[in-house]
Amino acid sequence: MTSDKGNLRGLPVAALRTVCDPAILPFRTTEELEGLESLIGQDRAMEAIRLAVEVSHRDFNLFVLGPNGMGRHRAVRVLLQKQAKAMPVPHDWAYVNNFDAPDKPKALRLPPGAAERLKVAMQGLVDDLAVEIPSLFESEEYQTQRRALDEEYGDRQESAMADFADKAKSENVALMRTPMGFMLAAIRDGKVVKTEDYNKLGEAEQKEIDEKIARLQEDLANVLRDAPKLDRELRGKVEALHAAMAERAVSARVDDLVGDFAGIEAVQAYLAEVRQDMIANAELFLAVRANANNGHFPEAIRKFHREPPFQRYVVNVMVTREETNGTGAPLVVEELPTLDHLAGRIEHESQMGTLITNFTMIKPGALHRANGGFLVLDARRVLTEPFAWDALIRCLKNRSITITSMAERLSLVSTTSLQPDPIPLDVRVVVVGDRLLHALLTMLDPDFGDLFKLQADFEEDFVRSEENLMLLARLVGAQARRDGLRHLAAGGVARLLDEATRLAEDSRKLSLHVGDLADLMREADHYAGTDGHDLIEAADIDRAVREKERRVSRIRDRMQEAIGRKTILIDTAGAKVGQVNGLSVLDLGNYRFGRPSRITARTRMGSGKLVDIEREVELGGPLHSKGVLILAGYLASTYALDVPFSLHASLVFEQSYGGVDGDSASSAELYAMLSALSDLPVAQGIAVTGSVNQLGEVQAIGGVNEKIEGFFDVCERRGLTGDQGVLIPKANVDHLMLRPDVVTAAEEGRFRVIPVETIDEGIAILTGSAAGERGADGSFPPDTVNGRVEARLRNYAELRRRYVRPDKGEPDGRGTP
Amino acid sequence: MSAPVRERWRILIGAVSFADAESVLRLAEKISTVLTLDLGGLLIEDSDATGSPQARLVTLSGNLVPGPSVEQAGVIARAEARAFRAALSRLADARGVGWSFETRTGGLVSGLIGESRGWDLLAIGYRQTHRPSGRIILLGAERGEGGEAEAVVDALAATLGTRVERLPRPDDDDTLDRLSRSHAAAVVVELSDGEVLAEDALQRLIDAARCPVLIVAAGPRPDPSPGRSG
Repeated sequence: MTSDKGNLRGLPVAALRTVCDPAILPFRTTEELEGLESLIGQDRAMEAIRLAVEVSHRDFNLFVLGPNGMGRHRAVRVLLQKQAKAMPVPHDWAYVNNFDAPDKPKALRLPPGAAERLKVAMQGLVDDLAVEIPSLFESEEYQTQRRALDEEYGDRQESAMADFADKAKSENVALMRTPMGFMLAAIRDGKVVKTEDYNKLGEAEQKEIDEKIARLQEDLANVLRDAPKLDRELRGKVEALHAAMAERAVSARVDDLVGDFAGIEAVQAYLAEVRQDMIANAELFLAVRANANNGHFPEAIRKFHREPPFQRYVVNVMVTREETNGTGAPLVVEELPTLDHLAGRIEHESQMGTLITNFTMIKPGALHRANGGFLVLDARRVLTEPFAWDALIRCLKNRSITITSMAERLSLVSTTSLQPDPIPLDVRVVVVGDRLLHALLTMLDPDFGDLFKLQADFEEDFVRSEENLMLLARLVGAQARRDGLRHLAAGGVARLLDEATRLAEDSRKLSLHVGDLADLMREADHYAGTDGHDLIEAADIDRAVREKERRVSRIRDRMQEAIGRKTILIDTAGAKVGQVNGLSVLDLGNYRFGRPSRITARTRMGSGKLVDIEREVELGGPLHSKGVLILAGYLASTYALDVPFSLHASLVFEQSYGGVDGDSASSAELYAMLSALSDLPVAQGIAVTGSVNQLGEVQAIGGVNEKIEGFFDVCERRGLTGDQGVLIPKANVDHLMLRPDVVTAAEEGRFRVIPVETIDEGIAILTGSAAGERGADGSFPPDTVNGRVEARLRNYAELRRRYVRPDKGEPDGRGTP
Repeated sequence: MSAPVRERWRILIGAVSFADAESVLRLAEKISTVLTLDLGGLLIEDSDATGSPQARLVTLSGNLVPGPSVEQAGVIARAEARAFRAALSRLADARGVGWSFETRTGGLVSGLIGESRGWDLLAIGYRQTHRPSGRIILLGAERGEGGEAEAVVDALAATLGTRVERLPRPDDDDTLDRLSRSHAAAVVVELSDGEVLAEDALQRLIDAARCPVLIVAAGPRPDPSPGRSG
């Protein structure tokens, strides 16, 4: 049914809102529908995700882009989980001590599950040796060998002294002890020669005594000086004995581990180093045994491996996998991708006022856990964490995980740190983010394009076909099951599908913002529950839509109130020259609504300047300015082409103080200008939206539903007259999905939506006068809008000419309008 | 069959220097955990240790240094006495036993033998020239026949963690030579009832042992109550 009043030919009702008839749905409730776990309408994106998970080449990481609420995260997880299960289980990784350079821990690559086994085995090795080595050194065998060495070297020392003593005795020299050392004195007649006796001797005898005393003193000094050499030799022998004893105990136990980890080359090499180190540092086991008796626990069950001296034998498991049991590769979703959480960290502890660390304090990050599998990150989160994105890119580029700390990056600390072996990285990274972030990364990060070769671009809507209606219905049913909601009746599904079209802003499409639809379902489920329904009906969905709008529409209601109370002046009846009701949309983030704005135009003779007042005061954005310049171009190129453009005009959005952008009001501005130039009034009951090009064609705009509804609400508040409506671009007809109350008013002929393709069509509807076409003589019919506009512009040109050259006209330049 | 071991021993430590005395004090500290000892100290400034004016001292590290002057020797002697006395009293206090201390001038051996009366154990100090300490040598007694010396030897061996070697009494040069070439922590000799060790024999024993020499039951049994002096 069309609405027709005069030349106000409105669109038929069917064009104003696409409605799904529940009768065409082949089910009564969604309970009858087969579930649908996969996404719908996302073939392009799903193909990209599949390629990312299946391709084996590196650098084919994936960026999943699209707005929130599209089910991107879930879709990615489901696909990745399926693929991960079919992939081989990756290796374990562990850090162990580098005995030669403790600040450069070694990374061990181990078969799945082996890292934990090795860790436990090493703990057992240390615990066993902590008991066995001390026992070996307390054994009779060791004691005997040790005593034998001590006695051998002791006897050698004594023999040297004995030889000296014998020599001294044979030369009648006594060896005497004094507090400061040994003294040699001559013996004569069995008695020591004292000083006074010496002085009585003859010179020759004195000389003889002095000579042999001096010689023997030197000999004694040599014997005593040799003692430390013998001590050193003994120490060497004792150390060799210790090493031999330790080697027996250590080798016996290490050989057990060698057998347990046969075939794992990395472990074999590590155990060889452990063997050597334990033998060289056997005293560690003796020292800890000495403290063992001070503990509360019996030695047999004491966990010696926890003692600090044995940290050097710890196996720091970074990541371990379950033994192969169909679990496949890892899938890690890092919800808080800080630098530490992503690439791992090296902890420090304070000791005696300094910060120390060792290889046991290396902690893994998400990259370690995901190595060999998949890592999913949220783009906004990883980009807002300091150095996290940089670390991710660096690791992907180098194909290895290097751990750095933020303090190190910022040069805040200069304490000794570690340089662990980098762990080779083989991971597929999937980053989920919005289009803006993707565009920025593509433009500004030179490595992004090389490392993220794939993008999965999620559609926001898909074609509203019968097939897709059913698919969306199945998706709705599956969502209800997942969220534990009541099932939807066919009517509820139909209402929800219509809402999906409304969200898509296109009568031929269905929105794929499943998150928004799910929110409506949940709210409707609540209302169904409070009303005691078993199913979610259309009325419940309706109520959810209404209540949601009511919650967010406070500002819209206040604006409507201001218009209603004429605080904001909007005419909805009568006609005015140079004044048109334009329409704009206010976007508050989670809600947008339309409202009319009075646009006025004033004209006079001038030098061709069109003043956009919004632009002059910097309240007009660039797109708005563009629209005004375009309409100025239309005027200048359509009318009075044979005379200078002698118009001075000003355009303004009355009572607008918050900034205007976009060109959707440029056709309304042009209508106001044409009305002012032609002096023909414009019907105030018709609001206008649409942008105009220089050819006078009316182009599509956004938010057409909100704009129509905004003007409708103003008119309805005052009482619909039947002469009211909205002029919209014809190109926006397919985007119409108006509220039921607007459709009802249109059906009753109390409101209409009128599509136009050209300015001429629109001005004719607004003024009630024909626009006019140029005749064969090139002029417009005089009583048409165009004829009157052109006449006015010619008059301005003539006035201007006379002003410039007064001898051709009135001396003061005044002219007739 | 061994003689009954006495409950309380009186040990006289004789030395010409604190370093020599210290060697016995270390042993006394060890065996006092097993045997109850009352302590006596006797520091003898060996008047024989003068010799040629050109003679130099050979330190334990093998350096040759000039001998002290008479005045310096006196200062050193007094310092040695103080150190010996202090160490003796510390050990006695730690063990809760009595102690006494004297200084004499003269020959070490003669002075000790002269003062041996009333002491159960006579210990002649000899500084240790190298580590580790060696074995315990018991002279002149077969196993089980050492009487009270056995108790001393067992206590020494147990506390030092070493073994006991038994040698015949050093009446001949071969035994003395063997003793001279043995690395011992201490040499223990037990005298039989009424036996007195001759001065020259003791000197030869000391010269050959070059380690602390402990002589058990060197004299008649004493008064039971020792006093402090010094």
